[in-house]
Amino acid sequence: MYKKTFLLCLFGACCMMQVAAGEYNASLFGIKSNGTTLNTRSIQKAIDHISENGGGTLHFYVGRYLTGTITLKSNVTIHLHEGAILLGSTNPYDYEQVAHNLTFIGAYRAENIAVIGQGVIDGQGRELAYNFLDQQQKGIIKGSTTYDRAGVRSKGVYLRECKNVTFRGVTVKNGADWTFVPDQCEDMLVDSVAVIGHAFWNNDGIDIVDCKNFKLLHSFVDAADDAICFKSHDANAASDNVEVRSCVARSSASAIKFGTVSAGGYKNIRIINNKVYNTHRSAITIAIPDGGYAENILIDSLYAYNTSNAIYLRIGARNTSRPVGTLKNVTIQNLYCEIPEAKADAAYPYEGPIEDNPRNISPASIVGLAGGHNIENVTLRNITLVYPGGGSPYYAHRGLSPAELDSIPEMPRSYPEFSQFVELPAWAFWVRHAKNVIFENITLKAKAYDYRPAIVIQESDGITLRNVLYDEPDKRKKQLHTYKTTNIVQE
Amino acid sequence: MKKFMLSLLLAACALTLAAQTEYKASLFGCMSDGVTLNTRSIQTAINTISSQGGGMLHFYVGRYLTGTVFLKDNVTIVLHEGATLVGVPSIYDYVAPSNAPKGIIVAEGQKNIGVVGSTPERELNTNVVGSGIIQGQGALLTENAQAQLAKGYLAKTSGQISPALISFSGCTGVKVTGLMLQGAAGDVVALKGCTDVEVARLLVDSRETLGCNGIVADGCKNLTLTDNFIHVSGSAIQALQSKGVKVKNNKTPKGKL
Repeated sequence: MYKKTFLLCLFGACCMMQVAAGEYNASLFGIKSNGTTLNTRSIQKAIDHISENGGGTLHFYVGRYLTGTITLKSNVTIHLHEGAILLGSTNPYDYEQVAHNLTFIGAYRAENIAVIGQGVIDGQGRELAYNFLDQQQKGIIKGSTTYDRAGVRSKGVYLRECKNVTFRGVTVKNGADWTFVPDQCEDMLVDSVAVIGHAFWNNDGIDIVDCKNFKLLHSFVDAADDAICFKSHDANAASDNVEVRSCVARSSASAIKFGTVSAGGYKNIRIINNKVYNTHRSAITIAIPDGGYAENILIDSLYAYNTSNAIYLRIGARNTSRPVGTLKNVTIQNLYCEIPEAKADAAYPYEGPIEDNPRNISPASIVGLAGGHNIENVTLRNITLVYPGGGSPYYAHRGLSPAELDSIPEMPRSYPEFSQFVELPAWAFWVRHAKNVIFENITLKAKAYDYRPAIVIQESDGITLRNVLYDEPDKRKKQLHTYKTTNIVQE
Repeated sequence: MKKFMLSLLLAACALTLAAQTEYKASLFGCMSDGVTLNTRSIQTAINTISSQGGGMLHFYVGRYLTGTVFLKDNVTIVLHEGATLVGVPSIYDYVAPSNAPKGIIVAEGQKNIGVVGSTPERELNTNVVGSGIIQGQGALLTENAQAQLAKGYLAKTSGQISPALISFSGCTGVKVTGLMLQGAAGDVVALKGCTDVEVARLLVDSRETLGCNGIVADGCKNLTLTDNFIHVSGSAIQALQSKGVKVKNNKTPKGKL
C-alpha cells in the first residue's frame, strides 16, 4: 500500500516538474509591473527564451506592464491573469513593424501560440495616435495626413501566417489603428474575448483577413469603425471556413462587414446567433468593390437593435485593372432589425460621420452593377425590419418615374456604403442588378407614413416574394414597385 | 444694381485671396475626439489666420467640442463632410457679440467671414448641400442653464441661456452655406445689422427647444436666403427691418415657404 502511494506520488511529482519547466513568471526576466518601466526588451527576451527552450507559458500577474512592440514566438502562451495589463507605450518610436505592419503585439509565421486569461492588452491608442500625428506634422515620420489624421499608426494585435492560435478570455483594446488583425492565419480560435476599439479613427474591432478554419465565439466587439470585419488583401488568398457564433457587436460603422478591400475573397462563412446594437451604419455589409468574390455565406439568427441599416450587399468596381468581382449564394435568415430615427451611435467616442445628405432613412439594399454584374442567389427568409418611417419629399425626393429610377447613379468607383446613393426610392428594400432573389416570410414595418413604397426592384431578374407583409399607416399605398425586372413571382 | 454687382465682384476677389491660405485644425491642436474642449485652440487658429491676412480653417471628419469662438476678418471656417462642431453644454462657455445673442460661432464688426460646408472630393464653392455640421446640444445646454438659473448663479437677462449656433452682428461680407445645423438652444442663425449676406443650401433641424427660429435677420442689408430646408419649432425665416432681402426656394417639412 505504502509502496503504491509512494510510486504514485513520485509519478505526480515528475509530472509537476515537467509542467513547471514550462511555466515562467514575468518577474524572472526583470519585467516590472509598475506601469512606468518600459519592459519591451525584457518581455521580448522572456518570449524568445521560452520559445528557444521548448516552449511554455509566461505568466503576468496583476499590474501594469508598459511596453512597446512585442513579437509572439512559437510554442509560447502568454497568460494574462486577472488585473494584468499589457500597456502600450505612447511613444511612436517604441513600435516596430511585424511582417510590414506597425503593431503593438505581433507574430509572424509562429505556431502554437496563445494569449489567455482574464487580463488586458491596452494599446493606449488615442495618446499614441496624437503623438504619431505630431511627429508627422514635424516631418520626422513621413506619411499622409488625409482627413487631418496621422496616416502612419500602429495596430493593436497583428498576426501574420500563424497556425494553431488561441486567444481566450482576454480583452484587447485601444489600438491606434485596427484593434485585432489575424492575417492569413490557419486553425485559429478566438473565444470569450472582448475587443474594444474606439481609441481613435479607423479602429476596426476584429479584422479576419484571408484566414482559414477560424472560429470567433462568445466574444464582444465594440469599435469606432467596423466591428466584426472580414477583409481580403491578397488576390491569391481568401477567407475560408470561418464561423462567428454567439457574439455581440457594436460599431460606429458596420457591425458585420465583408470588406472594404476584396482582393481575394470569402467563402464558406457562417455567422450564427449574434447580436448587434447602437450601430451607425449596417448590421450586415457584404461589399465586393475590388474584384474578388463572396460566396456560400450564411447569416442566421441575427438580432440588431438601434442600427441605422439592416443589409447592404454591393458589387463595385474601384479597381479598373481587375475584372469585376462576384457576390452569390448568400442566405440571410431569422433576422430582426430595428432602425432608429435618431443617430444610433450618439455619444460614443468617435461617432460615425453623418454623410450623403439630404437623405431620408435609407432602405436595406442589394446593388450589383450594370453590364451583367448581378448579385446572384440571395435568400432572405424570416426577416422583420422595423423602420421609423416619416420620409419627407420636401427634405429629399426620389420618385418612381422611369427617368428618376434611371437617374440613380451606378457609382462603380465609389466607396461602397449604404448611404452612397443619397435619397433612394424605397423605405425598406431597394434591389438593383440582382438575379434570383427570394423574399420569404418578410415583415416590413414603418411606424409613420413615408412618401415612398416599401420595396423597389429595378433592372433585376428572377425575384420571388412569398408571404411579404407590409405594416405602414397608409394601408392603401402600393408597397411594391418593380421596374425593368423580369420573372417576378408573388405568392 | 451696378454697385451691388461691383461689391459682389469685390467680395469674390477677396474670397479668392483668402482662399489662398489653408490651415488644418489639427495644426492648432484641435482634437476630433468629441470630448476635448477646443474653444481656445479654435480661437487661436482664427486669430492666427486673420492676423496673417486671412484664409480657410479646415475641419475634417470628427466631432470638435467647443464653446463660443469669435470669427475674425477674412477667415472662413470650412466644415468638410462628417466634421461636426459640437456646442459644449455649459452656459458659461458662451459669450455674446454686442447687440446679438450668444452663439457657438459669433462675430462683431468683421469683414469677409464665412462658415461653409464642403466635401473633400468636391471643389470648394460648388453647390454643396448640408455637408459639415454645427450641433448645439440645445436640450442639454438649456437644461443645464435652467439649473444654474434656479440656483441663482445665472442672471435672468434675456438671451442669456439660449445661444444660437451662429450669431453675427455688424459684419460685412458674410457667407453661411452648405451646412447641417442641428439642435440650437436658441435661434439657429442670428444676424443683426449685417451687410452682404449669403445664407444658402443649409439643412436645418432644430426642434429640441420651444420657439427656436431658423434664420433671424434684423436690420440687415443685401441678404440672400436661398435653397435652405428648415425644420424648426419656431418660424423658419424672420427678416425684420432688412433691406434688399432675396428669399428663394426655401422649404420646410410642409412644403415650400
